[in-house]
Amino acid sequence: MEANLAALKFKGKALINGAVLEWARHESGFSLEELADRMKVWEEDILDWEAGEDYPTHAQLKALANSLSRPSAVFYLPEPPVQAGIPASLRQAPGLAGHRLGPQELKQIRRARRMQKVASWALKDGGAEPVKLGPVDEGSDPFAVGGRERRTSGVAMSHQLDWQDDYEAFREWRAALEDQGILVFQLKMGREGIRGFSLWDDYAPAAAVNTAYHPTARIFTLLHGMGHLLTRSDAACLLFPAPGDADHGVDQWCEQFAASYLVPEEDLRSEAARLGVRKGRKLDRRVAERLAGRFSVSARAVAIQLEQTGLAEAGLYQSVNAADMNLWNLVPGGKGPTRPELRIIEFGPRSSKALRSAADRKRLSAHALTDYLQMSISEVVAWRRILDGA
Amino acid sequence: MEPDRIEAWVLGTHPLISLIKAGFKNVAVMQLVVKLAKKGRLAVPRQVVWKMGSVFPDLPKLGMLFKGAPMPDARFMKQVMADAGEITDPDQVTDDPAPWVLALALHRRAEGDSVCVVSEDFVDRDGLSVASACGRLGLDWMRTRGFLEYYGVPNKPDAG
Repeated sequence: MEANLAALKFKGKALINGAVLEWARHESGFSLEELADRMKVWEEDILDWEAGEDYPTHAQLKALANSLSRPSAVFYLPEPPVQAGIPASLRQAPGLAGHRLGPQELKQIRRARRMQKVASWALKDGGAEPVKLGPVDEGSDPFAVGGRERRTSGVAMSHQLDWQDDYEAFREWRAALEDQGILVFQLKMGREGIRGFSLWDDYAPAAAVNTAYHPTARIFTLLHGMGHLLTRSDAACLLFPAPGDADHGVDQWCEQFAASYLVPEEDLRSEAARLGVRKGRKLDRRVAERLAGRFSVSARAVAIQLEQTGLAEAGLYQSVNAADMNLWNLVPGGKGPTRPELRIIEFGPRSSKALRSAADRKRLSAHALTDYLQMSISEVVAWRRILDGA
Repeated sequence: MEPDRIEAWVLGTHPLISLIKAGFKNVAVMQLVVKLAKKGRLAVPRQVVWKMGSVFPDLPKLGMLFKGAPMPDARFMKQVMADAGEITDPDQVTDDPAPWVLALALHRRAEGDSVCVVSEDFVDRDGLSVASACGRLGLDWMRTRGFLEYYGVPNKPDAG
């Protein structure tokens, strides 16, 4: 009876579950004010919808789903889907240092998780074996682990020193990690956003980097993410913790792992000797920057290794960090990539090929591809052509 | 089966695109789609029409066929999401018309129609496929090819 009265009173409205709306708003990182602004409604309207005292119209539900980047059907669930959303390991990661993940970062994390889930399924479905990567104990020596993992990476130092520019370096590192089974995502999370995040999965472990950063900073973050995958410590990272900063245990471990992986000690000593670097002499940060250019890595990575090997005194990292050179990506000029090209840049060849292969096996429909890739059918055709030519 | 036993076919986005594309090559398919749509026996929820605009924007406007596409009643959406909520991934960042297709099928069934859902989604990946969800909701389900065979129209719909 009551239900019938409500149906009459709210005829023509979308009788959604207010608790799910409240969950979706929080999960998407919107305050009441932000969502009301975006929806062009009063904050009280949203409060009423969340309390179940009123309901949005169908047009408003469509706008809500669009603003919160959720399927509209989700709002009809009997209760909020606790299994979905961003895991606490990311939302409350120590590397965030209290930073509140915003709507853009949260949306990109969800996109990455969704791509990871389907790629994992596609790889497993295609007969792939679980990825062999670690695990490594956080208590182990990060420099030793970095050196060991680098030796098995298949990336020769002569090759690294030959790279023409930092963009080529990023592509090569991405390919090397993908060869080891890691999905490497490049996502737009803005200059205010996190450096990157990592998510473990037996078949498709993933490391994501923020495109706002310079390629060398992305490379460092990528290897930092590999450190999280090795230690099975899913995390989102904003800061560059300094050597000796005891407040950032696992993040500190990952920075040191990344530095020793990218700049192996012996090679650093040899290149430093060429520049006349001698133990005991005070090092200028510009030397670290020159070495960074030689190795196509960030000056931070070099500074960590110079301090670790004793080629520089403690404090070099701080001066490099303060100079903040080469942190941001330059906005590229000219015509941007097409959407199919962008998806391959974002999600990387490994996940793209896994989806493509599942589609070829008729295990993933063309329609499912349009959903996962957020493209039209003709764009999916172009995407397949690009992969064929890759 | 008798050709008229099923009174309402409820289509997902992909079958609808498949049929329309096939209709451009095979007039018998187009005639069947137009005939059934005009009689209201080929139904799609409004969300499918919206989705068509994003996944197949280059398709000539055939919206007239589905003008006034219905919005299923909320109680059927609630039933779908309570009994087969895994059909949609809450982490998906774009809309998913599949639950709306099922709700419309339940709606039509509640109005007394014998209903069959047409879908190409039959592989359970992370969640639930449309085919499995139909099983849970007690709805009949058929692939696009089966739908055409039902009417004796020989065709191999474009996979998209």
